[in-house]
Amino acid sequence: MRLIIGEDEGLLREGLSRLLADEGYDVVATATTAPELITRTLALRPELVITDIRMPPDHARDGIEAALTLRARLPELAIIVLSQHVDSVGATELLADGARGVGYLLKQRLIDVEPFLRALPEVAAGGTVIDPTVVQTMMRRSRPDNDIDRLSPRRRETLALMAEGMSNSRIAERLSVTESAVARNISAIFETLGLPPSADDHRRVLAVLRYLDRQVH
Amino acid sequence: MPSPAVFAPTASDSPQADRERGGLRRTDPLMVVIAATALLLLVIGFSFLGSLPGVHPAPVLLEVSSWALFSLAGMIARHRRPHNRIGPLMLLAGFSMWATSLTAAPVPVLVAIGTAVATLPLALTLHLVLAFPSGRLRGRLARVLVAAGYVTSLVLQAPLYLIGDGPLALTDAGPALTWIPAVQFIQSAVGVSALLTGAVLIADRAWRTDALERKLLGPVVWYRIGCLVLIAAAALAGRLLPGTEVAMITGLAQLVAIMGIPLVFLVGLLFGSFGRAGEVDEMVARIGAAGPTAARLTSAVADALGDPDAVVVFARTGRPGFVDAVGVEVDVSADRTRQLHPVRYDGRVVGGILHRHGLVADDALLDVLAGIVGLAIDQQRLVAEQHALVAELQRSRRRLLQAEDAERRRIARDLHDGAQQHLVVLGMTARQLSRTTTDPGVADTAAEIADGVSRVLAEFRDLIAGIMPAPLQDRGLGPAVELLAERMPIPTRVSVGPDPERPAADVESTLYFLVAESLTNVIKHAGAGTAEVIIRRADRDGRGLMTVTVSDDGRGGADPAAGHGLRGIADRVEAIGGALRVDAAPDGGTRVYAEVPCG
Repeated sequence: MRLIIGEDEGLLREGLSRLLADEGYDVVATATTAPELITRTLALRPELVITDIRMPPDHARDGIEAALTLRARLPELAIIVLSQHVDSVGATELLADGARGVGYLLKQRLIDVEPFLRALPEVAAGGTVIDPTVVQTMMRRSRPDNDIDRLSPRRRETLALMAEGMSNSRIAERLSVTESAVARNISAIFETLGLPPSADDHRRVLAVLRYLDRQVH
Repeated sequence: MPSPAVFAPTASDSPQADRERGGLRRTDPLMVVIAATALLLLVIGFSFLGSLPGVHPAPVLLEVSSWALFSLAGMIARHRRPHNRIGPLMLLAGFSMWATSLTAAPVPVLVAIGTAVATLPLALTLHLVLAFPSGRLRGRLARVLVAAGYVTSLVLQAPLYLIGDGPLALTDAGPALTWIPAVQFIQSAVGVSALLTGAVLIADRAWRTDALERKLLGPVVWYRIGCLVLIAAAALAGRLLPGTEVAMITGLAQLVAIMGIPLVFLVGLLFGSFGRAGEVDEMVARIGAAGPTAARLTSAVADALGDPDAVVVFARTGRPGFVDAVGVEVDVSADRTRQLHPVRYDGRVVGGILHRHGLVADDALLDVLAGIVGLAIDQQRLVAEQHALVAELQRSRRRLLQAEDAERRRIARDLHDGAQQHLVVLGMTARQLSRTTTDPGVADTAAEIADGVSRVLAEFRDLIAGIMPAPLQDRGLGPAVELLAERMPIPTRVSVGPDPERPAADVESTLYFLVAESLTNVIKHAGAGTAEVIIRRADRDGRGLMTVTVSDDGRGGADPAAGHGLRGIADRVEAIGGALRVDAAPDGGTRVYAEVPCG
């Protein structure tokens, strides 16, 4: 798979490149600033972009901005953003237009390697992967006016695993239930959250977004 | 014809006239002498001019009227503004005009004197126009111009009476006679140049002054420029086109313009907003009133000077410099509009009056004011000094906080960008080794290393968050507080008002630490079920404010003095000029409320 890495820290950029090359990915380019990332991506048309959020020139949310720009130009492009810290706002911004093929991972997750490597093909295939730590933070947070609170603990857990980008079969495996039980739970979640029937993938993203409790319907 | 009776009004019912007359008689016998002399000279001069053969009465009347106008205006100005030199200057101008009429006297010596001073009125007019309104010449160029005027009118006039057959003549030699036209030409050239330069100087000053002064003095400024230009034009026309219609018209216009000077200047002096000496009495009363504050002093002085922007400043104790009534350092160096008039008390400079030099017609008025406010300024000086010291302390406290804040950010960023990234790569490499190696021993050890690095990294993140949380640096107060709330074990509502602009860095971090500390207290001490954070922008008296409220529904009773970390936060809040309050929330819990200035 062809991909581009956007990361301003040299050491980490090299480390990531090496890791991904070892795993058989084709790292076609790296970029150290957000504008450079945009230019190279538009020129080289990779399937996947992995980018740090905090990058030059502004050292703030440049990675997210770049991702949104690229998203608008190349709707099929899969994007994984790497965050230094738990920032649910950043995650939802990226998902806000019902995007497919989006990953939001914490940098510290890179140490575990496996989950990171698992996320790549899932996002590339159009899935949505949110870092478990981000998901857990949201899960702990309970809001008085949130539909999510009306879900049973088991359904909430199911939703959290959905947010991590897991398929029904993997959720079933994780929760030690049958796949049809997972499907029933998911239907119930859609209903509780008032999500109209539509393509299943889209409803999954919407549910996750609702779960992340932001401005999206 | 201007009635000489004007000089000594015989009967009037108006109280104004009574006061004027009374003032003349009571306070200044010199004025009576001057008035009588002027009247006498007027009659003599009139008789000289009237006795000239074949002379038309109209020009004579005009001429005599202008002496009378200058003399009368000079006397009134001198009486009403005793310290202002405009009055004496007008009197002198009137006298010099009279003296030129001596050329019509039947005595040769008087004729010669008349010739000697024939152009003196123009030099005096230049002096008068440039010296308005204070009567003093401001700047070297103005003095040079006036001196040039006097030299031109007196010295270059000399050949006219020193050569020829007059009683003062030294020679009537033919060669000397040829000098006369040349000297006259030089006289005209220098005189016209001085006049026009004077006009440019006035225009330039008016151009460089500020709006208020232009508004107050504008019409007079145009008049002064117009006068000088007209006089120059008349001189040129008289010299280059003698006897033509142009020369006659410009000559008439010049005469009218000069005749207007006493009227315009007198009105400006008495009724213009500058130099209202009459308000000194009132000011004495106001300052004498019990407990004049520094601010009242300033407004009393500003009123008396007729300069709304005049400021009383207080000399600092033990160091150079001046501060205003609220202790703010004031730059007192003279600039194009303002200058400092020092106020002394007991031999020391205790303060000063910072005023517009263009608006004060009478420097003596400033001396009077300075004398009146000296004691009051000396008394208020300590108060102003206190204000200044408090303000300085506040500023230095803010600087310390800013320095600490910047240092925290730098350290956090260094750790973040440097060590943290290294750790991530280190852990990643170890994990990859454990995944790919075929040696199970190496795999286990590498996995252990990776786990260890993970734990160190977690501690590292907590450490950095304590120094300066990354979300705050990257995204600002609102999102950072949202993230704080997300980690709360109890439902915590966050409401952040519309906030297009981020506040100053130290304000932002102070408010963040305030919220973080307050929420920590809620968890530790309050036993609350829910908490709420409200951040708002507000505007009070035109000053931007940020308010932060952190409240809970717990058992209440939090006391910032009793520790809980809020003491340090309160110090930070005060350092950025804000205030912190801890009280009971409406539903019995604790409420921490802070408001800080921003933007």
